[in-house]
Amino acid sequence: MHIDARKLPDHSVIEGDICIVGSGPAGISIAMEWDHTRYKVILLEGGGFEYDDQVQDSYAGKTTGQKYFPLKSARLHYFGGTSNHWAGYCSPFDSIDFTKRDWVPHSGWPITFEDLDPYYARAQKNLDLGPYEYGAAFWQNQDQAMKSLLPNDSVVWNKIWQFSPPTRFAPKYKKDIVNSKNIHLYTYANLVDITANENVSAIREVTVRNLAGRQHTVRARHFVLACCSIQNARLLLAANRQAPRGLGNDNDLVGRYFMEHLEIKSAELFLAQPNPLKLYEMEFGVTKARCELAISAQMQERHKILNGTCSFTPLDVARNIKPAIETWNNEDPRKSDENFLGSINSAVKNSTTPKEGSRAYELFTRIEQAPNPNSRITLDREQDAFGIPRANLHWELTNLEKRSIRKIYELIGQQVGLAGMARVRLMEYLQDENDLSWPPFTSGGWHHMGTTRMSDSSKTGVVDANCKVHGIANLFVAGSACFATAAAPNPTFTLVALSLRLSDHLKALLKT
Amino acid sequence: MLSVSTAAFITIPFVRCTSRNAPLAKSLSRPLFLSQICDANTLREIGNAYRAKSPDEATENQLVNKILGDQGYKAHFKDENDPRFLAFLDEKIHKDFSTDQTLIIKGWVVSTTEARQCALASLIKP
Repeated sequence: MHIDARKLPDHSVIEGDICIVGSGPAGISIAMEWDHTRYKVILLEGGGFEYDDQVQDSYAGKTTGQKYFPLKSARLHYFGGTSNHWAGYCSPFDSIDFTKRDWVPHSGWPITFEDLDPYYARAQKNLDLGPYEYGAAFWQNQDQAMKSLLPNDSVVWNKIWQFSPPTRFAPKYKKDIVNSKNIHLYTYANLVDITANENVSAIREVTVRNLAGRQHTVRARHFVLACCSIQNARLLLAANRQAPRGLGNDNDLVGRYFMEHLEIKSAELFLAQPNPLKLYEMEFGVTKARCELAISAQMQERHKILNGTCSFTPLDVARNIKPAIETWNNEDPRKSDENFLGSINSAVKNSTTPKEGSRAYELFTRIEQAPNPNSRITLDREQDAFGIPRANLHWELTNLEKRSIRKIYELIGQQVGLAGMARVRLMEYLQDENDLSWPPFTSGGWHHMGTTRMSDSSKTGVVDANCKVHGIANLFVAGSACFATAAAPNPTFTLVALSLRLSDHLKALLKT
Repeated sequence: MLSVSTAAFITIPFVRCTSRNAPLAKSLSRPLFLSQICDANTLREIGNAYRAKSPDEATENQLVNKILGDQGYKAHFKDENDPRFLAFLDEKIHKDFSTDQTLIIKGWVVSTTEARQCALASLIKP
């Protein structure tokens, strides 16, 4: 069922069993789990079914620290959320990503890979992926041309990525949700306030507002914030009428530990013979699975480095692609997207790579950033059109990221050398091990994580292992905001898996 | 009793004398794999950087000895045209990569043997 909240009588009261705030991949994935059940699900979307610049403007904010994309264009505020422009890269986190690593400050989740494994399998369907197979051998058996560059997998290994079409949640799920009898989607219902009970131990209701001037109240047994990492933190911090530091923020953790993936060109690989590197090749819309080079858990521990992976682009193409931080520079996400894709498409179109493959490739890193309390979301004094203080981002990296990237390429260089396949040359910014600066082309991946991080203790995290906000009985957070560490893979696959797990938990709660 | 040929092999100290080492040093100054992907100038740059880092490997003789080692391998080669010579170098480079005997020089991740070969290149044709 769909209701446009602009057309409801002012001060309507909406009631249900579960209220999900946000209709991106996390919110829709949870909502769809409840279709055809006896429970009434309220799904709130601040925007409509199409891009609306007035609504999108509420995502604008200031950034400091490491240069970042304009906040307004770094995610999308309408039905389907950021899935409306994601690229579809999917791979599960590794077991080591969930563990406490003594060389990575603030690492460790209260859940393990095994806890998430069955939900990854389920998330494959949500994202229109292939079989739940992430071993390189499975895919190599289907295509003998997918040959490894490595002598073995003890130091560097081939980590599979699968590619979603990419699934746009809006067209995929709109009909089902609009036709659902028990999922009630409210568009133009922008959350502006959260009201708790007297001792702030449970949420009583939330307030939504739209630019048509209508304001409504939503009551439910359980509330799930699924608005993306920046917005979830912003809403909790702004809900400071009853809790002066914001809801769930007794220990000053909401908004902290903001994490991104560093996405940055790092080295070049030179082969003696032309090679298409089919195991590592990605053709958008065609490739179902391909590998990136990853570092074994044993080597991460030995060298005390972060988890990161390396992908390949023919050098003649890569050299003509402008860095994302330069092309994704417009406040309007549609214009940034056009600039960004324009640069890539032009480089691909003008490629001179022969059919038999290139002899030279750019090596591109995607690496977790170490959880850092100083990397954070705070509230600005300026408010958006709904009356909510805007979000500010201070993105701060540490020396560990730089040292890790350098070591990763040293290890990759050693392994492809050992295999007699190639030699690697690090880019200039990595050549001096004492140089801890970042080059101007340092980019993120539009992957926002960690602002309501998961931990067993309220002293070290905002949500518990079930994504429930510590100290508040019926408030949950869905999505990558709950990640305690960022791992190397793009976050959507994991955030959908985690959301499905949260949904199961809520079902168990409602049964009792 | 040693055969005449064997005796001849082990008595040729071909790595010790500069004049007699010249052809050998020249052969060693062409790292096989790197030469396929780098131009001569790049090889010399790597070599210059290696020599700057390793002042105790400043002469052709020192570098040749380091590359061939003191494990008696040199005694088994008649000269640099011996087919086993290339295989020996190939194996040595392979071993470097498998035992962390690698360096990052001018950004290149190279085996120590390759770096020494480049250093020879930079000495022979600066």
